[in-house]
Amino acid sequence: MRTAVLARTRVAIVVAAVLASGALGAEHYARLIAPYYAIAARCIAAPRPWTVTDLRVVDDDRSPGIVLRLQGAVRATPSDTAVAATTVSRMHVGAVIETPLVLWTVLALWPVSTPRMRWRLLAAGIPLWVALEILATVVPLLGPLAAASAVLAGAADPLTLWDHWSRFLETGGRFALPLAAGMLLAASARMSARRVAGDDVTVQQRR
Amino acid sequence: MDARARKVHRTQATAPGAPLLRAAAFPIRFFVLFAVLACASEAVRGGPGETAWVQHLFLQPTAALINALEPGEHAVVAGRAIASQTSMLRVTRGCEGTELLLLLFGAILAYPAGLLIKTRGLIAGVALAYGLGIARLLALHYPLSSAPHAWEALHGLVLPALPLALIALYFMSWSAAAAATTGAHGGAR
Repeated sequence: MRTAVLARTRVAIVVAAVLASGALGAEHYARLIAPYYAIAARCIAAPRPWTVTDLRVVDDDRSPGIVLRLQGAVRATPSDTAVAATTVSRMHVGAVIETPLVLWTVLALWPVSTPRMRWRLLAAGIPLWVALEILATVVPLLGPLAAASAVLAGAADPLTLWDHWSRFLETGGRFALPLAAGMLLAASARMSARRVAGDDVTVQQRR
Repeated sequence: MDARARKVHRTQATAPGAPLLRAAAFPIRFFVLFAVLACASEAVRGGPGETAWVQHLFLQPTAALINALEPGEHAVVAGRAIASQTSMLRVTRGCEGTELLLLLFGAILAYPAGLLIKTRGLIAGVALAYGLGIARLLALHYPLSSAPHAWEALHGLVLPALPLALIALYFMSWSAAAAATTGAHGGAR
């Protein structure tokens, strides 16, 4: 019982520290990782009639605060050279840092038996973090380009799968996705560690 | 070893991924349930029921609390916004507190516990999530009028994530109690 209370207290302290550091460091994090977002966005846009003209952290001109802003150009078809529409999409830097904060908090707090397992779990989290950044930040920023393409193609309802994904993220998916992914990674890391431990025991018995 | 026991033994022996599936069951169930609930919530969004839900359950109590705390504010609900003398708080998707309820329902329904334990957990959890939703709207209203730069940090990260962290702590307490109760009753799930 006391152990459970101590565990919850530890979680509460870590969460408070993470929130404080996130609130203070959101802008710096967004500035640091913006080049990665730009590369990822341009890779996704390349086979489509889209051009990511600019992606940077700026002061929002519509509301108080700082946003990650993506400016894009949309052509009617991939072979066209003329720009048919331009788009601007914004995401508050606080929202940008939410997904990585949740993921790394889960991986940092997940109960493991040894520090070595903790480091292995955190290392395994890096590719997951890289992938989640695209799903949670780059894809929503590209949503308006998809909507513009749909309008140019004559779609009556320009609500695209990209928009549905953005709405899912805004309805709590931004938290549910890294929570589930982090727990899944931690569970699989624990099982693989047990399997390795089991193999060690088998080898020792054979000797 | 009787026939049934042999069958179970054989199944366990031929399914090396079974422990991994068991360990992964909760996060997968949680995410699938959350996704289903989020899609259902999205399907009714913008309809008269959803607007009434947000206005009556979240916006009007918040406006009433603002007026009770500061009668000079004259806060009123205008569509999906709380308008007062000093600010206009537009409550968009994800700000009204619905996602807290969806995450809570997803987590509790996915957890392997009895129906009664889950029902108790949901009742207390919904009350907590509702209170946190109202508190979040109040906490968004005051900095918007008095400290716009603090509002950015609060709106962007702290106020979405802090209620979620409190819900997560509640879930940890509930699941620990549920596991203890289930264990005390001989593992009946």
